[in-house]
Amino acid sequence: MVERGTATRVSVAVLTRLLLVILTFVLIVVLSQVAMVSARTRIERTDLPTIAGQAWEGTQDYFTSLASGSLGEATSTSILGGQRRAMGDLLLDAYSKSMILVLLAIGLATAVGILIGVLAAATRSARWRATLLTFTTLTVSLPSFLVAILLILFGAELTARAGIRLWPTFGYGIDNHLILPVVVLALRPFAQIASFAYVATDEILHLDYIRTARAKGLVESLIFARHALPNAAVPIIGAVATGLSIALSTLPVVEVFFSWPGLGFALLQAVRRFDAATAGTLLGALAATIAVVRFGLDALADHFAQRATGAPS
Amino acid sequence: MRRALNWQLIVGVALILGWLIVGFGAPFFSSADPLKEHTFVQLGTRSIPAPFEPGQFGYVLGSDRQGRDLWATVMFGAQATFTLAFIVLGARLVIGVTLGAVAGWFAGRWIDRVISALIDAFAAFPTLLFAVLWIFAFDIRSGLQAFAAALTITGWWGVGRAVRAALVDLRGRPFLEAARAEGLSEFATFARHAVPNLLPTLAITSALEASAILLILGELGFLGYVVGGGTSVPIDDLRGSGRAFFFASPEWGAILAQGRFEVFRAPWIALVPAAAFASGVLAFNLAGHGLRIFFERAPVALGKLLNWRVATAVVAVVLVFRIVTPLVGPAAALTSVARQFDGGQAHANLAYIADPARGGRYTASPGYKEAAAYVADRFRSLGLEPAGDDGTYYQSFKMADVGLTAMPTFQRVGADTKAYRPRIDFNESIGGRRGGGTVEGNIVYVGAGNKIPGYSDYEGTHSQGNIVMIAGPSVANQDRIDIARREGAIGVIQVSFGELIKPSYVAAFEAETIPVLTISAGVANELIAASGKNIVDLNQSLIDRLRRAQTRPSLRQEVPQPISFDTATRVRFTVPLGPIHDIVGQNVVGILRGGDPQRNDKFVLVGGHLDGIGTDPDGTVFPAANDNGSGPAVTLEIARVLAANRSMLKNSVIFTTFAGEEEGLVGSEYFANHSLTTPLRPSNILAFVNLDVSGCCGDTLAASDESFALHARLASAADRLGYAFGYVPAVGGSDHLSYTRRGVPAAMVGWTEFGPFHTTGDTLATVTAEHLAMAGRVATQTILELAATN
Repeated sequence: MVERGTATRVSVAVLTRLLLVILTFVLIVVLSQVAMVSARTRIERTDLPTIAGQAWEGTQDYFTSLASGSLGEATSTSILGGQRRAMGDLLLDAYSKSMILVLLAIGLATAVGILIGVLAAATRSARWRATLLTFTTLTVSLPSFLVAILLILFGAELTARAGIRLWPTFGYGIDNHLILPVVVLALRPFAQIASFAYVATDEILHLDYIRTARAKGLVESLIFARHALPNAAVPIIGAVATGLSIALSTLPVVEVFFSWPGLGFALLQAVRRFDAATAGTLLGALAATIAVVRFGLDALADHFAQRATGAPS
Repeated sequence: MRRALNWQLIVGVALILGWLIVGFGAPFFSSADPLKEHTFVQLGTRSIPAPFEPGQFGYVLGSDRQGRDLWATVMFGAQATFTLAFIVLGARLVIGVTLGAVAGWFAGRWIDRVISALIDAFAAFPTLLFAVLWIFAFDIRSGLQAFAAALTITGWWGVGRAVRAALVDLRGRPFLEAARAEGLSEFATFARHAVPNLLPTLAITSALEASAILLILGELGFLGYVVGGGTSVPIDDLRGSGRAFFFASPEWGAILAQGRFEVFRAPWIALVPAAAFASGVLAFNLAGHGLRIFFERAPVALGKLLNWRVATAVVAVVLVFRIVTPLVGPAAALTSVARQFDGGQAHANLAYIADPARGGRYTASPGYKEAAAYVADRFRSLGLEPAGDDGTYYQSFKMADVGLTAMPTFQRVGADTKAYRPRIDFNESIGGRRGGGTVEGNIVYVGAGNKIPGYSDYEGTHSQGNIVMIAGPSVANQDRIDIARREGAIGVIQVSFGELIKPSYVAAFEAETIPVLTISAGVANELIAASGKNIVDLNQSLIDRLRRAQTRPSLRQEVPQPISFDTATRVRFTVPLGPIHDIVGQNVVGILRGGDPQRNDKFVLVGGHLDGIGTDPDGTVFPAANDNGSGPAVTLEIARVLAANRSMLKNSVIFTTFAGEEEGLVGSEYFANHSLTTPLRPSNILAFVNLDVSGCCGDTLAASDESFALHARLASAADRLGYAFGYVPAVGGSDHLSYTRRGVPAAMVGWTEFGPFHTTGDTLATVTAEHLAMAGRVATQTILELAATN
């Protein structure tokens, strides 16, 4: 009985979240239509009802097409000829290229961020605290474009002075081409995660039950792994979610600057053509991803929260 | 209390205040000019082109490629950038607080669920990309408001979420229950007891939001999306293939936008604004965190600040600033000079120039020469230095010309014959593929006249040896006259859905030409009457079809059916065209030398074209009063005002009237090209104020916006004089284009409505002294601000 109730509750929660993902997607498709139609008609100085009508028409077309199982085509500038491309193709291609960057960046930021945050907390030194928090505050405020320019200049200077070529500056490739974009994308999420990891771990290490554990004579590493980390997990997961938002928001800057042919790149081109269907699809895919990952992280946080309030031993 | 003050708060607030003082105080304590361009520095015999490195030639932080001082730009840019950020913040607060408060107050009810779902959905949108979408939706060229609206739509949810959370937190508190128990209404409870407790949250959220807004503004700038959108101009000739892009507003994002492309050659152009953005983002972040610590340690009753006195004080400060700014500083002192511009005097100039006796001033015609002599005489009597050929005011040049030898004719032939009237029912179209000749054939309606691989509007029709009628949007930027010719058509009739105006001719032809007419929609309907269709509907259906094809995602490539058809209507038309021959055009040029020897080799150029579309072969005169007797008339009056105040001028001012504008900007192109080896070369021109159609119509003065910088100057000059000022989207087709494409800030100053130009109705009577005076005063004020201030 109890288990069934839990299952129902879980499935209701999953369903609610699924609905929210769908809402996000639909909303973004509709808003893309409105935005692009009004951008297009602005040239003709059309009135509001016309814009609404055309946006409605475009939305209908889009979902009719979607219902019949196809994303349709990404239109080119020309009406009838020109290069058209299956939207699915474009989406898959651009999406995978972007996700490589984002996943690597978030992975890197999470791993290094937690490591540094937790290690700094473990030292329990006031100087470390000040250094780390100042450093992370500064880093979180560093715009990606500034970091990108500085890194590129650093690389160029190194090549010019010492003849060392650390990384290629521009272009796509699953090799050392990844270095610059991933580092630039990872930097701000890293700072976010490191500071939260530090604060969370630091707080917990001052709690009574850790002292008790110590008093019991538990090894320090075991105290960390068993008692401190699971409880610090909730705020850290929150920071990872924020980090993901930061990375995805900055993505187009990194893609355009490093000529990485991903979602942001494709989207800016679609917007320039006032191509509502493509813009809606790409933005929708991105937004749905963010929503799904958010919910995944929420669930993970719930899990840890339950463990923390449940039996810790 | 002292313990609550933390370094984050102090440093953050100090940085913010620092930028605000620098930004808003710059016009008061700095003589640096963020818009001043300086394309190269002469060092002995060497000339060193911009960009200049930091520290070089007195540029503390270096210059950009147009030689603008980056420190000055960043300083003045702080004002624009922070203003924009605060506008966005304000809008986000209004929407976010309203929705967040409703959701939080009614937490758990349906309205909360809806708002919370919206917040969650918007939170998942990728901010930057979503913002770009809306910037285009609100028209990037409309400036600040597009950015403000776009960034509000993408970011209101942050405030909403924070306010909702804070209210949910407050809900069960005893003091709210107590307030309710006292019998306060729900709204009063909210306003008196909940709102004051929200203020700390709002302060913290505002600071963090401001940081996020600055960051996204930086990212937008870096991607090239800047306030005003920048300007793209053709760089070679009128048919231009290459285009150059200019960013010109003093705003951090705009500097960043041009710097991105120069990271290797001149990294400081991007680094300076990027660092400015970083410092702003950091400042607000620090302030946000600092405020959080502050409120944790010292819970102060911010609610006490919520009263009418404080609100009045804030409003008063803003108002005073808004009113005082245009009235102080060196530029404001110049308005009394600008007001010396006399509209009546300008109108008197126009009375001579646009007199029908001048015959519409076709370039090289006797009427044109009389008008040119009038301008030169005035220049002489004002004491302007002649800058034409051989010590005269005239600069002569040869140009190709072509014209009608008789009026064009157009008639329906056959049983139901009817002759149409030129200039009322139809007009000729000349230049390129459009030549002269007489043709007779059946009308074949071919829609928009498009032909691309896989589709042809000509399919199923018989254009061979006939006359095709074209009405509708082009899809591939093709030459549709050439397509018609290749399809065997012997003549083309284009339908105009606007007013018919007498065209001007570019005297350049392809090897093979066919005659082309433009007819009104009414005449077109008469010609296709037998089909039972209406040309307006046909045109609309083509436009709709094109739009749907471009916007709908199609499952398969649907090729629409052409809507073209043959008709039995037979027409005959003649375009009697003379041979191409050379004529001699005359620009009139005079200079008022500035008094500062360091600066008088840099010039402000002002003028407009003097030529008009002349007289028809049947003797009809097109007086061309507003287009463009008004420009030279205003130019002469500006010359009078500046000559009377010549001691104020530091830079020199060139006054010109151009010939051959109607035939494709021939006069201004010649002037710019011919000056390359002289001190008047384009790199020495600070700006070109082109006065075209400046005497009529509508009630808003406006300038074209190819150069955002010059437009900003003109707009602030108008503001100082108390005039409203708009913009006409980069219209291009006037003499300023000759300078825009050479990288010189240039703008056409006129009115938002052009009036009855290129018709017989463009007479002296349509132009008012008032219109001339306003255009002239704004131009004079702008020239003075450029040439007479430091």
